[in-house]
Amino acid sequence: MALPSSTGRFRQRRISVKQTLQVLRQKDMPNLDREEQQRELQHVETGVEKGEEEERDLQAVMHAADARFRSGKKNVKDVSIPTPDASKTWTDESALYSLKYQFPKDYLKYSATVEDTCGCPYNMDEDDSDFLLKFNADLKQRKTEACSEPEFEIVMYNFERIVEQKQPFLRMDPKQILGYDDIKQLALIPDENDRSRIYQELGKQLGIPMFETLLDNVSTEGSTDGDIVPELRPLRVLLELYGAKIYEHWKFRRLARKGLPITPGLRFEDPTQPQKDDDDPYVCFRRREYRHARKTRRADMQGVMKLRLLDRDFRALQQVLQMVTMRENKRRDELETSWAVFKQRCVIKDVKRSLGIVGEDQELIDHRRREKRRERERKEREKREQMKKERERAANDKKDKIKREKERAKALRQVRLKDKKRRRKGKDGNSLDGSPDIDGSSRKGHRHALQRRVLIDDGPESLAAQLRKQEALQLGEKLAAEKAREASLAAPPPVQPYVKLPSAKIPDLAVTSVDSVLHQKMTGIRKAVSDKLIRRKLQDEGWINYTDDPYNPYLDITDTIESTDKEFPWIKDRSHVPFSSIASSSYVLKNPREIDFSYVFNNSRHYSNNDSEITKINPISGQVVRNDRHNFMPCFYDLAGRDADDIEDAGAFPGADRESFYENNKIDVSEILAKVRHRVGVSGCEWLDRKPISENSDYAGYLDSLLKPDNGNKSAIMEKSDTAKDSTTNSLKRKRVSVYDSTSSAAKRLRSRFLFDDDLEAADVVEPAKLNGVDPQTQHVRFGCMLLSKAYEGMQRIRQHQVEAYQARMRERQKLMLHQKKKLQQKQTSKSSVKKSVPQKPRQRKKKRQAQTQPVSRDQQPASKKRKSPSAKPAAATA
Amino acid sequence: MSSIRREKREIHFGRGLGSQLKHERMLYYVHYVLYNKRLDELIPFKKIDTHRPLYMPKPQEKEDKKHKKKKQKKKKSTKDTDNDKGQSLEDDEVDLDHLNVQGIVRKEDQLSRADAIKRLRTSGSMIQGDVHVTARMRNFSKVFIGKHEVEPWYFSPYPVEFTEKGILYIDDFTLNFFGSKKQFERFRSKSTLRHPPGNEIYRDDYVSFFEIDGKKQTTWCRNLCLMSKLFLDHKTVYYDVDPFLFYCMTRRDEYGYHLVGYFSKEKESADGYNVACILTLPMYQRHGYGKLLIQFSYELSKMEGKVGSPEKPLSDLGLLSYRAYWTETISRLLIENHISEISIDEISQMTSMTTTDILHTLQILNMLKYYKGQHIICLSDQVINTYNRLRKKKRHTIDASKLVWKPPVFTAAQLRFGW
Repeated sequence: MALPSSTGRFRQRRISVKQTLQVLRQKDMPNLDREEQQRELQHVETGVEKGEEEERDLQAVMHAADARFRSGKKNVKDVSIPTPDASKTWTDESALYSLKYQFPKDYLKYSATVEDTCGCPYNMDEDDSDFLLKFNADLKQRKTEACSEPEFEIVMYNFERIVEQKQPFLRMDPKQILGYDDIKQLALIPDENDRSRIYQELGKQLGIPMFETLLDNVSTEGSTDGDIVPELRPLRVLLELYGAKIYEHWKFRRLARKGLPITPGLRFEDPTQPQKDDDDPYVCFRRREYRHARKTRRADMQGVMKLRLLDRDFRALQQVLQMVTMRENKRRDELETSWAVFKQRCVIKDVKRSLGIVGEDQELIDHRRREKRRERERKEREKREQMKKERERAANDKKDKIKREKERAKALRQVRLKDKKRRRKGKDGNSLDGSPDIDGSSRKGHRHALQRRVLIDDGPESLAAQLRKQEALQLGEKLAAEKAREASLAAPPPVQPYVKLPSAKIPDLAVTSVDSVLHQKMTGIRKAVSDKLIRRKLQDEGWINYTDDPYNPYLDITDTIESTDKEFPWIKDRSHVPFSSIASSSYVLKNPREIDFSYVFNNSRHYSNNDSEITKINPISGQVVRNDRHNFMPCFYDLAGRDADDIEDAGAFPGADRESFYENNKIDVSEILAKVRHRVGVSGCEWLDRKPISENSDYAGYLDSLLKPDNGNKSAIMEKSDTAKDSTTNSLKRKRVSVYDSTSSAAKRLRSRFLFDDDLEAADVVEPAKLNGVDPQTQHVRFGCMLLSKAYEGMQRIRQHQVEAYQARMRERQKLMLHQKKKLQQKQTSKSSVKKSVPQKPRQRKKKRQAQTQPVSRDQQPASKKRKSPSAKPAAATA
Repeated sequence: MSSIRREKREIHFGRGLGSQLKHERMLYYVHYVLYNKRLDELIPFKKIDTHRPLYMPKPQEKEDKKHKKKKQKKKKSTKDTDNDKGQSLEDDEVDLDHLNVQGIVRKEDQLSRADAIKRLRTSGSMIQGDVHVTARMRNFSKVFIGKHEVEPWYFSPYPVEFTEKGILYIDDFTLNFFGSKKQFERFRSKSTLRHPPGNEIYRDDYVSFFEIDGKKQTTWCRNLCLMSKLFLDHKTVYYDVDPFLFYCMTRRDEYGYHLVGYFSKEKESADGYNVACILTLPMYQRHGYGKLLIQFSYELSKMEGKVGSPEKPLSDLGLLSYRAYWTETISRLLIENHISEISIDEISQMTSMTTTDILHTLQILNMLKYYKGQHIICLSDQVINTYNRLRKKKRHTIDASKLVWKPPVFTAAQLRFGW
């Protein structure tokens, strides 16, 4: 606790582990206040369990340490904690550790388990030993061979093994222990887990006579006694010889243990008991149960898949290993034969020498060896050449790259120069013009325009050329790289003398030039702009946009229709012309050419026709047109087809003329009639179908009254397009009636408004989904699901019907067959012919079936099937 | 409670834990109060001093009351201190008066057995608190480990059937156990294993270390745990061995690698322990092997780039060994490198010891002092003398360059305990 000490200082009781502390020796610092030291003597936690902390021996040691370090006492006695004796050794058992061990030079690596190294798991104890002694003495009297201890263990182990496998709960009722005959039979079935059996089988498969692992032969090799360990006889023989007797002994021992294994083992948690025996201290090594992941079909499938993959991998591995061993076997054979040949040659040499034969040494030389050497030399030569080529190629690549870089830089410089020049020119032009409308905004626009000009106009001249060049270069590079790669693939990869990447793998550092960056930006901007325009256009779909059409300030509908034939002959169907539907709608648009839209847009800067900086795109031809500032109405906007001079007056619009202008420019629109559909009928007749817009009976009557001169309200023959044209021209000639002034039309409008308003309300039905308080989307989904399931059910039903029909047919056929057979037999018996039941060929059967088309009790069949249908259903589903 | 004469000392007899008939004599298993359980023994009746008065064990209530009082006091004091400083500890700050050892169970909040087992499922290898009565009594009187004959210290759940004789034979290579000598002999004649069944990760001319995975070598590791339970009181073998790695120190002779000691380590320790259980077999004790084991555990932590501490509770011998190692490491670091300035954190990074362990050691050695308004580390004469004495002994140390080891990495699925 931070109490003020006598010196009046506070002892900081907190310490930061990051804080740097000075390290001082005792002699370098004064003797600190005794009192303060005392206070520091506090209980320090030890980490020993609280109950044990107070134990006297531990306390004694800790006090000694305290005395030494804290109080600074000298000559403190060394104290230690007494422990039970462990110094004795067990001398007579040193014989058990007699085998010398050969230490590996490297660090040992080992993965075999204890069980792998212990041999037979059964170890006989004193009782067994006594029994065996007596047993062997008996055998000696009968002059049969004695049973050795290992053999005895093998037999005992097999008895234990079988019972553990077949009767794991023997302790419940030990009397049910297997009889000798049963156990003998079971023991002779080879054990799947027996290693030696696996080794044997493997040896057989691979053609190796003795299959031994390092673990197997240690015991025999290192034995100091030099005894030859007698070969163990196989289990079959042992059982034959001693089985019955040993079984009696084994049974006695096992029953004495109340059915438990003879050698007691560790007690584990009993999985059969529902209650956990937490209290029993002899139960140990419980498994840690963990929460099982929820069992789902998916998880199961995954597990199965994993197992399958594992199985596949293991099989592949097995195959590879088998092949490797086969190869090695072949190699060994080859070595053996060549060794034999060598020996034979030696003999020949000796014979030759002894007989003095000279020449014909050809046979004594190992030709293969020479060939091998030659081969090796050839390969080395190839390698060297390859390396040379590689180096040259690399050098060339480097040169090329440098060249390309230079070219690029040059081009870039040129472009920049041009740009500068252009800008200067533009400025000059502006200043010379001195037009009054150059204010801040226009200047801004000017800069924009400049950029755009660079992008669009002059692009093709210089920039595009540059781009093309660059692209071509890049393409060339890519091609070259690909070629190189192909070449490297085709040719066997040369072994590299240095650790170096092959040229094909050298990462092609994309050197980005200013050009490419500019190009990217430009395309990006272009795309963004066009996207925006298109989006805007899409918003207007189905509407005529008189105010801010993204491509055009406005569009003349009639013009497009009329001009399509001449200007755009490729438009085959006139309905493909933009806004054709509107133009041909039930609204008869009159005198469109007389509307002067220029008035509407004149004041807006955005659509001002004399703004030279706005480029327009013709929506149909995609032509980019730039306004000519000197032309009031450039050709593109000259919708009326008039000269600029004519409109010049109209452009100003003095106040007095305004009304007259309105008068002139009124649109004469008829009232809405009906929906009209155009179609081509028989013999090229063109039909225009009219359909009342609402089902209102009043309106139908009204329509009837309207359409009386026609042949009816459903259909009316219309003239061909030529005549239609005429009608428009006629309408132009007709005296114009102001729709808004005429009383009759007002009445009509009133009526139609009444009708339509009425109609609208009737149409405003609350959605069924809303009535249920369900989100419309959910409703859609539900409805969709319902439809799907309905469809699925329908499909199922149809399938089932098919299956049933098929089954019915089959059954009929079978019945027919039986019928025929019976008939045949009857005939045969009646005729008393020799032949009996000639097997009919299937073809014949078919023919007969076709011949006999009589349906046999067709009505009864479906009824019986209906009962069976539930069983038929899953079959159909799986199909 | 009655008194028992034992080697001139008067010792209270806590409770007769059990009795046994041996050679027609009644023997009583007694625990001496305030002495470690390993000194418990079977005594004849006449050793019990019946003339002295009998003390009944203190009733539990009194203790509880005391605790309550203490608690109240503590509460008060903590309140006071809180008012005193008026500010909480920073991240890197440590309260020197309340240096708590992590993982130790305080008396106030004694864990129930069920809770303890629950905790053991996921982490740890030690259990604190009361144990089953049978588990409090040693169940073997003699154990043969290899050529050594050793008196076991504590209970170990070897098969009950073997406890009748009270003698156990343990093969010191496979660590297999036998109640019968004949069986042991037969086994020895067949077994070929001469070393811990894993990879050797360290070898010098004195010792070798093996790394063994509890999941891969279940039998061997279970055997090892059972054997070490004979000498570790708080070790538990309640759960299986698969979440542990076992680092086994062996000495070589012409017959093979003989196990000298080992420490286990959790594959993934939630509490930042670098050692779970640690044991030098009793026949090899007091030869400096414990310190080697501890040093090796810290070398592994250095390779991992982590700091670590042994799992608590420590045994009395464990505590002393660890304190000796910590003392030696810190004093060597400070003295040999002639360091004039260092922070606790830096010491921690250089030694892989936790800052708590370092501060503890410094306090025990009385090295942490307050001087001129600052904390300093004072190398007292005693510390220097002790260090010099140790250096003269020239004990063997671990050479980190001979450690060929990569920290093993386990996937989540491998760490999920179960079969």
